[in-house]
Amino acid sequence: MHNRAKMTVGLAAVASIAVAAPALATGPTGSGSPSGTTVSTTTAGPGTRQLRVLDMAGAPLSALSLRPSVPQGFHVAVTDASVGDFTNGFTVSAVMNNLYATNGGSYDTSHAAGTFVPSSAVTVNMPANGALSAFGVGLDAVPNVISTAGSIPSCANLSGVAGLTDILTTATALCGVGGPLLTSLSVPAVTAVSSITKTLSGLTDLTTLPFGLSDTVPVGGGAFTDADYTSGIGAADTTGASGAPAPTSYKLLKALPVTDLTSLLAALNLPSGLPLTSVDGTGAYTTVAAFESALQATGNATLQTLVTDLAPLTGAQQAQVLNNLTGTLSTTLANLSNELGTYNAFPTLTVSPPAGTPAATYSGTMTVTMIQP
Amino acid sequence: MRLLSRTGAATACAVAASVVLGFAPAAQASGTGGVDLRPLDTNASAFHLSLRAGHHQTERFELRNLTASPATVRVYAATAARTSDGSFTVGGAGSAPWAAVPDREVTLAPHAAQDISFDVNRDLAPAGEGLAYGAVVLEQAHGTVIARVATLIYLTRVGPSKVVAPPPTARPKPVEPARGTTPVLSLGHAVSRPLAVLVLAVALVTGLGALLPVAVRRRRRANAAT
Repeated sequence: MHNRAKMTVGLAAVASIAVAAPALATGPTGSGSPSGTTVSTTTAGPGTRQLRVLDMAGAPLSALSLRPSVPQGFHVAVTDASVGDFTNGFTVSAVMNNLYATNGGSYDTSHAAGTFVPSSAVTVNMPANGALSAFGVGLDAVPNVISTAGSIPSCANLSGVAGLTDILTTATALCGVGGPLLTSLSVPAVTAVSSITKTLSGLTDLTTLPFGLSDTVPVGGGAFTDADYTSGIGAADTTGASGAPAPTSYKLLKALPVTDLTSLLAALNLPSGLPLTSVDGTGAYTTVAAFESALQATGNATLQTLVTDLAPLTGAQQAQVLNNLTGTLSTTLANLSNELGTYNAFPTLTVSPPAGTPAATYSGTMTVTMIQP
Repeated sequence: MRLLSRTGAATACAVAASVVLGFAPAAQASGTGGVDLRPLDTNASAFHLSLRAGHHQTERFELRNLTASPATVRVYAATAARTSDGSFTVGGAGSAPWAAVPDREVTLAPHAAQDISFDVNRDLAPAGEGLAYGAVVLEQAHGTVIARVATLIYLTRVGPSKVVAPPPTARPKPVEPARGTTPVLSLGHAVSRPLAVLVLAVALVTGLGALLPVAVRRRRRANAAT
């Protein structure tokens, strides 16, 4: 008898129907324009993140046929496209209804003894290997260049360098009395946008991802101790809902921005030992224009004057002057953009009906919620 | 000339800065079932607003069908709560009446978009100061599996909440007589005016009737004395 009951529990969810309907009471359905609504034809903005709950064949999951004590797997996928915000990750969590006796498409939500299998009999688990993964993650990186604090020689010294022999006559404001390079000029460290763009694609190594993946499912599985009465089939169980605690929730997939980019930087394989600037950025960390913009942005009057007074020189000459400084590349999450790819979790559900559960078909709703803080 | 050149450079820099600011990126969208929800009027991926007691604010978001097929989603507002580990949980439909997102299904044609506005009312939010959390939830059900995506609402409650007066329990205040009216008209509130006149007339007649025999006797005594 008990075994039979377990088997029917296992068949429960297959015949279940969509359960959101009872709560859809208020609004109009359709693509019209109700109050407070306008139809738009604008193009989509950048960045989108989509949650999908799938079966193991990749189709949208509508039911899991549970057999007692036999784990049934499913697939939670979060797919990013053109995401540029790495300051917030996301979480995907799951809650579970009780499983209610099903009869001809209706559910006994009276909460009477013997009419339901408590949610606490359902456990979620993560396989020991491969529970979390990433497919085809890619991103663009435009690192910052940080010029090392240093000094630019005086015009008198620079005029002895090939290519700058006319600096004294061409850049009179720069080299004249009161000019910034009348004597050697000390320049503090300045951060500029580099002209180096690196693109990564097809990342699957979890250590190189911009998000660290994890879950909160206990090793060995976690029971849905407290049922969800807010949605699905269980929303009709008003008796159970009365005074019920918040439902037990497990994070099936949690993606937090990584704090250590060491592996990602290694994958980026950023160059080193380059000159600070060149006219168009080729063979250097950044362009003359970008670095001069950074000097202007410092608010330092002497550096701003330097930029203005360099103007009579050619671009190549300006690069020569500025390249008396050196720089290094620096990459943070803020330098990453256009992230794409799919993050996956492959949890399993297992039901273990309590002893004495009557033979019947039982159904409940699992609600999977993605939150992007 | 040199000064002019520097001023010009500074101006160019300011213009460049304003242009950069003008092209702030749009908010990131999130969704399920091929439908995205994107907060509008912000470049954040959530709704952020601050309200004092007695104030409310309209927020907007866009729903967009990213697919080549019609798509239907349910949209509603719900409470959200921050857990001890800093993550969030999201409640069910109807749990956040202070965020007036009508609970409804929306069907979008392929690649169509729809803007929806909703009102956030401080006085309907949980009492207190500081942050209160809610969410606009986009939901799609497949059989016994519901997929939801919650876009958070961060409501900063500035200052104390409005003190809601208790409902009136005292008897209605009596109607005061209008200035310049007489107590008789005041009586008219309880007794109809013709009836009051009739009562006064009867009393007058009765009084006069009672006095008439006395007056007749006095007249007779006087006549007899003379």
